Amino acid sequence: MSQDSSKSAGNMPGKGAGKGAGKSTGKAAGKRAARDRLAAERQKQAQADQRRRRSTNVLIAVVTVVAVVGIVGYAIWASKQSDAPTTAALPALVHEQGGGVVAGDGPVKINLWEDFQCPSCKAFEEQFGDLIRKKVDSGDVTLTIHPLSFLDRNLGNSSSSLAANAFGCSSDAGQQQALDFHLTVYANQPEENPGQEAWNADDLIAMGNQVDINGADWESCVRDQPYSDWVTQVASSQLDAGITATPTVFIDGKQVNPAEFETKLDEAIAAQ
Amino acid sequence: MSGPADRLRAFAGSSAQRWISTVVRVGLGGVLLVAGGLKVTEPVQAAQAVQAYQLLPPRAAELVGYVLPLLEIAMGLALVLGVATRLMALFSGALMTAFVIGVASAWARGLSIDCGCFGGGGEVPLGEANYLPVVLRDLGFAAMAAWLVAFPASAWAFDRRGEAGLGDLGLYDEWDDDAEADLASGSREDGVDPSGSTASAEEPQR
Repeated sequence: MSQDSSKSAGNMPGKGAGKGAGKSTGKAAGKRAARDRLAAERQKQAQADQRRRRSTNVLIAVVTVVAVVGIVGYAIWASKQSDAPTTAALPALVHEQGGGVVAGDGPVKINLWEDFQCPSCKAFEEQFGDLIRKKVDSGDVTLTIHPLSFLDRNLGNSSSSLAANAFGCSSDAGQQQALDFHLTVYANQPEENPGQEAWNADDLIAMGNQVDINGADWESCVRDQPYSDWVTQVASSQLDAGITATPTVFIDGKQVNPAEFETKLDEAIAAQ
Repeated sequence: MSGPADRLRAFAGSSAQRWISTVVRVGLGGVLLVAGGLKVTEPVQAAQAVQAYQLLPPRAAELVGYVLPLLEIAMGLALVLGVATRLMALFSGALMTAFVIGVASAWARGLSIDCGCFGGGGEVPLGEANYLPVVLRDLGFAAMAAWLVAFPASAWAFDRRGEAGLGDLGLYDEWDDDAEADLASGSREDGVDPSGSTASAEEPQR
């Protein structure tokens, strides 16, 4: 800055040598004004640069923070992905890791996604449970029941997963026992009561006793929950199947509105 | 003598604009903070809420359920503090637009879901879904975001004048500089200027 002005001042005398002294004072004032203008210009420029630098730094910082937050969320999600055990002890009627309880071997495949605490599932079973049962017994239908447990989270208890495990235990006693037990639990489903358990292990053991599932194996299986890993697997498979509500019913791979269940089932059986 | 463009320029940087932007900024940031805070402790439920829209593959929807609440909190915090206001407003405007599209598409497809905007979500009994207020509300939030993109300068903000984020892309450098020049020359009646400390510090050199 000072360098520049001294340079321009040094040049001036040569140029203006022949001119009168009276003019030189006006010239000096003009020079001063020009210098001030230049200085102001530079200062303004420096301020703008500083603003721009600070602004850029803030932007970079904020974008970094947002990106880090996103990555943290991703990491939490990724760590949840490995939650479902890949090899779990499976109940007798479960034939693949994370699969549902399979009853019957008929040509029409029904896949039923339910939660033992879900009132609409209770209503569905009251309406169609016996019909499905009949079609399994007659050899028309292969029924796969996927017992979900997401209502545990919604209701703040653990009754769905406790019942899902017990349902697995009931299948160890046989197909009829499993289907009986499944319907009995729904028949005993209390009103939704957040924070309260719908039933405890003793209740479930007693429900099993009602349908001729007895013995020390049954009781310890309900209490010790050896199939809890499988219950977790089923809960996790809900996501891949795109299940967002219960009951969700599939007949031969096609989702069916529960209200039209009977018609669709008859059609499917007739088509065989 | 003063066309619409001049009047807009006069409004940008005026104290009225700055205070309106302050209210809009803190309001929008607060909404994001609350929305994110209510969902962040229930990522599984948030994931189910996203899945219920049936717009994304299940795993992707789950990922959104985990990441979205955190992003909302980060953006809400930035807006409330007034850090990189314009960029954050741009982000949240895009987010609100996405919400509007998601809810409108659920509506159009006849889904019966709760928006899950502030926690909760998932399917609700037929006839209980209430989409219109949600769409209008989110459009309102989008409009607030658009306002802040246009007028990011505000009071009680970390951002200083001309630094409201993305200011360097050129769109508003002019009015920022003009505003500063006007302020310095005293031609603008700008009673409240909490970010003007730098300008007044340079005053004596004039």
